[in-house]
Amino acid sequence: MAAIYSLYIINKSGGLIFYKDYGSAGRMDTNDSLRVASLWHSMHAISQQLSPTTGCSGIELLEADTFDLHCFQSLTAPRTPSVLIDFSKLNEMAHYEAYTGCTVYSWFRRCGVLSGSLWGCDLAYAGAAGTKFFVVCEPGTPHMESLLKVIYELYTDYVLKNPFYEMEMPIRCELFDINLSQAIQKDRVALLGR
Amino acid sequence: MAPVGPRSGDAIFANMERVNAELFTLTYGATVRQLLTDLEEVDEVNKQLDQMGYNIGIRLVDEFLAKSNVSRCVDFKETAEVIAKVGFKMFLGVTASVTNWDADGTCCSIVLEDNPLVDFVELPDTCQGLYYCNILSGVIRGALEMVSNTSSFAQPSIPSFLWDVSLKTEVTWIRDVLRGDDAYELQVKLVKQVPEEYPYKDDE
Repeated sequence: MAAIYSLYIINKSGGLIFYKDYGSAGRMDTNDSLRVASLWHSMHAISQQLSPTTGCSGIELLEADTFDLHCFQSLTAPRTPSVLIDFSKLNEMAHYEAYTGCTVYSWFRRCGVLSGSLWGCDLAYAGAAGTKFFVVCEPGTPHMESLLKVIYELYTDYVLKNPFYEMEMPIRCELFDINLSQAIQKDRVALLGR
Repeated sequence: MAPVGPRSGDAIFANMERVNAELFTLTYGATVRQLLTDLEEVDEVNKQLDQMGYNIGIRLVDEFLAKSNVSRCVDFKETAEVIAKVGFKMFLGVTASVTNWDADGTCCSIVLEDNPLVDFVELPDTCQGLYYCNILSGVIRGALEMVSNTSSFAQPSIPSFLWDVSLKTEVTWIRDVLRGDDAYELQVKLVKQVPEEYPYKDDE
């Protein structure tokens, strides 16, 4: 039984810094996983903006008919402040498009939101973005929040404390890998033993 | 899963892996000593210690958040309390208290009664300008810079979509036992955050 399909860790600017898959189903190549990670980063930011109340920290659980996606975001923010798109300005954007014939993309550029990248998913609205950890698992798999918490702790212990690990860069730490497999293994045993 | 409440500093400290206190104190002492030899200027050493602390702080803050279950603080007062009561206990095994708040709640002092870094230290006359524990102020500065500011911190003059900025602080030593004072006092001052102006660029 493969309850957990895959695990992603995304850095503060939406780059994939760790990816591991555990099931044969849904295996992804490097490019796909990178793309999915940066898309998720953007969707997560948009979900914060969609919230009618302030203080929303973004999507925590995505339920689909074939999988669940649990996401945990650390509270630490980027060192360089970045801009959040104010979606209340959508009207203004539409007007801009109508009057100038320029696209919304150029409106973003005008506002200095885009740093020159091509696609919407690169919009720099990473305002409250911390490091994101997410697991894709079978629908209804329990204890995923606590597993993500454990993974976060492992990350602080074996990645951040490694003096040779550069912040925000891809994680290549053997100790992290070993302890991570143990944690996932333990979780699987707990699932089977239920 | 039911939300887990914040853990006390004592509880976390009890579960942390620990090393011999003397090894820690002596290692730190040797580091400071080496810096003095390498850099020669006391002021440079102060700067270097602060920078080292900063580099530790920006990484350490994640461990702090992961293990303490502290959620977002409501305001700077709560932030300072959490640092003093949970942070210092968790990493140094000492308790600190927060005092001397200014009127608008942006500046306070963290007072340490006990400080394991200085157990065997006597400052010689040649090092009178040295802030021996300057690494601590760097750690606090670095850690706070990584914690995002939320709406309740925000000033009304800043548009809401720019609220999420990190906490910039200035941390300075007010009292130092090594310099003849009766306690260690760190002043933590929240620097008013003005969001960066983005260059206005037109397509045409």
